[in-house]
Amino acid sequence: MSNSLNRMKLSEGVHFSTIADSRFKTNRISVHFLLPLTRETVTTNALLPFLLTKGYQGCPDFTQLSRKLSQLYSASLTGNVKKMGDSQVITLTASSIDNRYALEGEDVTTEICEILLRSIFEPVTENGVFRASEVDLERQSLIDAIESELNEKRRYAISRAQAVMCDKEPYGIPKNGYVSDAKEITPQSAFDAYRNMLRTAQVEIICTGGGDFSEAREAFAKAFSSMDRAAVAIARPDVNVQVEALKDVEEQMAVTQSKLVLGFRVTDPDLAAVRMMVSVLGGSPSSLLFMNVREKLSLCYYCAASYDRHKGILLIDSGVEKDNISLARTEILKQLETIHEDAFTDEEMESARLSLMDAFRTVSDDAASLEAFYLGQIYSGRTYTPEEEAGLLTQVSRKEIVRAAQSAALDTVYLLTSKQA
Amino acid sequence: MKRQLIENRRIQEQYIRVEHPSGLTILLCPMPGYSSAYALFGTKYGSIDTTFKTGTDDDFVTVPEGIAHFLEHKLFEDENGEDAFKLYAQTGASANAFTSFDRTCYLFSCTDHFERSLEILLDFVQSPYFSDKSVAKEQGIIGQEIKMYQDNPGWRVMFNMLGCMYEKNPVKIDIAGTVESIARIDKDLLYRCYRTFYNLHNMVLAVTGNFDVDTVLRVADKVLKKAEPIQIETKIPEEPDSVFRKEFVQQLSVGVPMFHIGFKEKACEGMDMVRASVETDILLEILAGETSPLYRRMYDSGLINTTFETESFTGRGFFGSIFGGESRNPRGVLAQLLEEIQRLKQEGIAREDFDRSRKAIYGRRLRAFNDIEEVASMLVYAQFAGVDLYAAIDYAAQVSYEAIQQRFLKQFDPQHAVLSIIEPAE
Repeated sequence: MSNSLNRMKLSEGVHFSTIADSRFKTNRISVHFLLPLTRETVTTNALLPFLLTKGYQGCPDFTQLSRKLSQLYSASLTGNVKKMGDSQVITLTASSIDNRYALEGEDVTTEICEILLRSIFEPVTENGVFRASEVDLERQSLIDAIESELNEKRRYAISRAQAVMCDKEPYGIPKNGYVSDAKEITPQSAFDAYRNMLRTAQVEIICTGGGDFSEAREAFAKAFSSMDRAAVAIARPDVNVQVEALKDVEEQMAVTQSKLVLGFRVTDPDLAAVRMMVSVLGGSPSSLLFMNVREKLSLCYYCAASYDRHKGILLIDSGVEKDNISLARTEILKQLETIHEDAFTDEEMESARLSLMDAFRTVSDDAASLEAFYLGQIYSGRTYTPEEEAGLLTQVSRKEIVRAAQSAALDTVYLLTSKQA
Repeated sequence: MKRQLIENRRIQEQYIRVEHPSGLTILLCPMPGYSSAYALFGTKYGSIDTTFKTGTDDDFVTVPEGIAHFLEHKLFEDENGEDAFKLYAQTGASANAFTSFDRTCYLFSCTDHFERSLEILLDFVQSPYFSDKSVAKEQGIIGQEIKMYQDNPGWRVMFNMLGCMYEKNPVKIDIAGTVESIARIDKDLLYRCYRTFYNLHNMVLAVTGNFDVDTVLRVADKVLKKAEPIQIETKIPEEPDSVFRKEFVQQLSVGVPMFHIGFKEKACEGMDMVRASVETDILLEILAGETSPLYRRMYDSGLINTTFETESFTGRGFFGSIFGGESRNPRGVLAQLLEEIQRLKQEGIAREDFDRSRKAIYGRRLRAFNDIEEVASMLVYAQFAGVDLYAAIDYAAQVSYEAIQQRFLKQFDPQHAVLSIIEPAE
């Protein structure tokens, strides 16, 4: 299975990629706009996916748009915001069943591509800016999304830990921005952000599926060629941050189970080695954290390690009972020490390797996973396929895993716990 | 060994059904081009099966709430205290298990060493070992899991809704039970549940994706232990048609209030359940999907936001419709919904709304066939419901306007509506 990416330049800072795969019964086109993550722009940018998925000039009414999509066998047009390193990524995705499966022989693929294009390039305006009534509604949706971030306590604790850890770096800024800033957004400021996104963002268009995407490529090339582009190069974040003083932060909320997050800076540049280290530590149910802190000691319900390669940050997050917090913290750090001191077994190392290789090979079975994988590769300037990334892991030695662990420095301890003593 | 090929022309799919001499039904769906294989080994036993007996038992037994889920956790451990995860670690497979209202499933996905992983799966699920000590330890771990769910507003809003809908049906009970109920679990009860429900005649193995059919059959011949046919009787208390209570409000740490509106409907089985589920999905799309005037009115007036969703809720012994999301005025959402139901019942459903919504539901069902995990879970669902894998998508492609209209008049009775709200804690 090749599943390789075929990427070509359309215009300044705009690239079009295809991952051809006839196994999928669906086609998926995503347009990713990569922008610098800044306190001033984050919130208004985050409003754009809400605004741009509610209609376009030829179909200004949201209900009409929904009906069009529904008619196309429940095709979808979705907007999304995420963080990648010190960048904010605004994404619009259109997805539909492939023409082969249409009950009445419709050309679903062409139609959905047109809806996506128009949503991006022909938004509904009044007096040269977004409609005030739409901005009012979507502003509230954005505020709701920001306020609801605390609903999922595990994710919320991770996001707070990142904010504490990177309070002086763009990465510490939440992806959806801030409620106070959202309240200040006007139709004019939203439209300015939109124009700025089209003009300056690095644009990655990625198509996945069994369809023919050549028409889509022509259409996007044409749309961007008429733009006066001044693309801003996306800077890779500095991953060589030295820890000065440990940040130890506790926050309180009405929760039954406490959340403990430990953040480390990892400076080792050997990605495959760091991945192996993180997998041995807490990447699977056979990892040190799961086997010892959860299974043997019953200190946490979950305890896992994850690594953000774009930012060089390792996070260990766990759900613990209040009485067990300090013991859990000690035991978690002990597991990292085990790797530091080269005291893990070959079995632990090999199972981590197998589990990680398996995860890479599984990427190709899902269109959204493939797309996310390749966007990450493009961002970090790597050209390997999932299979090749899996292959690199076979060469990582024990010595390299130890070295990767030794390059990890504890930067932040974040605790979310209940109010009562 | 009985072997049968089941094909569907419309979506160009097929699978093989094998009645293995051990008593197990094996459903095999190789999917060319996929990298991973996915195996699901399930028993028709879930959180609702709290009162039961076998053909040879004298009396019914009522077991503590949460025991099916507890048993799922315990099966992973062998008599030496070793975890099945440790065995999977040698193959690189990614393994897990889950317990739902009406089934318990053990699964793995892998891209390599499939045969060994399948052996591990079939072997550990057939090898129970429970001791007083290991039960006591698990009570600690599951106690933490229960606490974690107490903080989960999405979970609470759902179970509080079920608590309103049902008076006696055990579907209202949290799948993991409570700290108090799991304290009453002991090894003898676990063995009794195991011997009743983990009989291969009550189970199914579904495998999808990248694997070889003969490999599965070879492993099955080697590892499966022949089971005697079993007769299982489960008792689900008689449930009135009426709802238990109309509303329940709980306070938790949430940013925006959350709600679930539920309509309690009469449960059904087999093909009736498939039809009920497809027709209800279409009705939900017509009534409150993004294409509906109701959705638009509620969205434009700020009553709902983008989190608003609908779903039909079907399983063994229960059936209903759910409307959920975030709202600063959930009672306003319910009022608008009831008003729209009344209007549509009087005026009837527009043909074009029906046509469009049917296509949408067909498209949604088709998408599921992209995903090896979804296909496996649909296979298990279909087997336990006693229908074919393609029954639902075929029905969605051809369901009539009249059937939808008739169902609409039967369902969505305002007397059967309940409201669950999670308000932000002070």
